[in-house]
Amino acid sequence: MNRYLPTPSPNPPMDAVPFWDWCRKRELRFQQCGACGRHRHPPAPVCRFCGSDQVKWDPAPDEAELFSYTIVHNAVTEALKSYVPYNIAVVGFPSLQVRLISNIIDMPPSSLRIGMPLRLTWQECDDGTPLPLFLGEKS
Amino acid sequence: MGESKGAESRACIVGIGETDYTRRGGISDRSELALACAAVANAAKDAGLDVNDIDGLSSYANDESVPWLMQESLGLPKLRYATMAWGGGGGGCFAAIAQAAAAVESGAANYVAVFRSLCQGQRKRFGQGYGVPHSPGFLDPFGMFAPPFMLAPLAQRYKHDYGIREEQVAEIALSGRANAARNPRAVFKDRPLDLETYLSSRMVADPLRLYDCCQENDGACALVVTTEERARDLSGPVVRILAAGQGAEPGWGSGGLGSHNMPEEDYKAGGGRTLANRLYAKAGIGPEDVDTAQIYDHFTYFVLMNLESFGFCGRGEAGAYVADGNIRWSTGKLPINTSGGHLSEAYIHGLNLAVEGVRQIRGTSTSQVADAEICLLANSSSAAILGRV
Ligand SMILES: [Zn+2]
Repeated sequence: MNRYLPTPSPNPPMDAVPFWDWCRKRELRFQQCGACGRHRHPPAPVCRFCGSDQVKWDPAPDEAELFSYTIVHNAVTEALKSYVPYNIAVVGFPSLQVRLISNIIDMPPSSLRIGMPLRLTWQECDDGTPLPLFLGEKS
Repeated sequence: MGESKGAESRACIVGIGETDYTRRGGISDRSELALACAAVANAAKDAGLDVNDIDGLSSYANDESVPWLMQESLGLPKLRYATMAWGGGGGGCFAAIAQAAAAVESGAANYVAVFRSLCQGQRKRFGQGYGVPHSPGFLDPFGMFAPPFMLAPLAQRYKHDYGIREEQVAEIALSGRANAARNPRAVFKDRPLDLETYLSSRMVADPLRLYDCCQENDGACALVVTTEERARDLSGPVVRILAAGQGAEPGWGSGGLGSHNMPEEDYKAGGGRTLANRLYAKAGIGPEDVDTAQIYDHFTYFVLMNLESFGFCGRGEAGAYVADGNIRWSTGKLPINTSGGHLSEAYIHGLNLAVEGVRQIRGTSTSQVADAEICLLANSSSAAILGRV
């Protein structure tokens, strides 16, 4: 399968390494506080709600929704020139109160609607790490 | 700042200095450091000071004109205070003024030069993600490389939830361009813009069109901050810093330039709400007292959000507020970005807005607001309120 975008592989800081380790198993998981149970993203060493440093990695539900998005028309690298226009999606997981930046890979720009349901899929980037991407079709 | 301080130690701006402003890459015969030095020297001269009286430096946005290099070129034998507001973006511009104010009020320095210098033809483009990522690894793999891409989803949600129309947003760009036509320093002074041209301009990152995005420029500017007592010994006009500060809503750290995880009500508000209330309280004024505002216009939509956050209209009402003519010089209730702002004068990362704010209080703007006594300088994460002594 062709990649949605020819973009750099993730280069995570230490606190985000487990996120991408789970992605390598094709599992989307978010940090969850081991004390108060609240979720957070991006990964952080301490819970901003209760101060605990106890961490679990909780599987994301299959259901997500389009919180917001943009359609990029400007290619900032030579490699992106044949890929514009492309979308960048802010994908919301309402039950966890977290959002993830991603792309919706099966929808023309004019079909994107705030609030539309999204479904997780995976696509490997250059270093083999599967990226969590999304499908917009109901299936 | 505030009433606990004696009048003598209150912070004031006594000098402003600029180089010429050009389009990005327009200055190739001088270095970024040379521009920084020229702006500081011009500001000192404007204040009636010898540049060697400057004993403090304050900048932001990872400015590369570091104090030890400034000292090599300018002398500055008394330099004893140098600081920089954290962060890669222009959000720190008014924070750098707050740092200078705190320094002179505490006695850490007597005359602090606040400066910003840009020579983007000679290094990486700031606007292409240089120095910016707040959430490393969570943006790049998904093609979110540059500020317009990072901030467009906030504008999209704001536009969607409040039914903001493009014809309303256009007023930010059109009003700024009209002000630039009166400003000989404005890079776009001879480039009139009309609604039709705005609406037919290309999309950069939906909903941001070409004319919703600020310029990229070369140039530098600076301000000199000192106490009111020292200001009285100088010959020039004195502008009080009634309040200045930084900070945004909790969660804004993972905001527009980060992973977009701030609370939903702040997502479409730009982050300045708490800051606005804090600074108004400190200055002892309210939005109804503000005569003119210079609002960080890197992208038009964020000017609308800040008009709401700083209390000039209700949440979601800024589209109608600007469309009703309120921000137009000279007839509007609150003329904004009277130099042309970042969209039409130049984008010196916010500090040229502060220079224009000083001109308004001095009464020397090319789009002077009659009897301007209070000028707000605002962006989403730092702000200042200027007033007459
Ligand atoms: Zn917790």
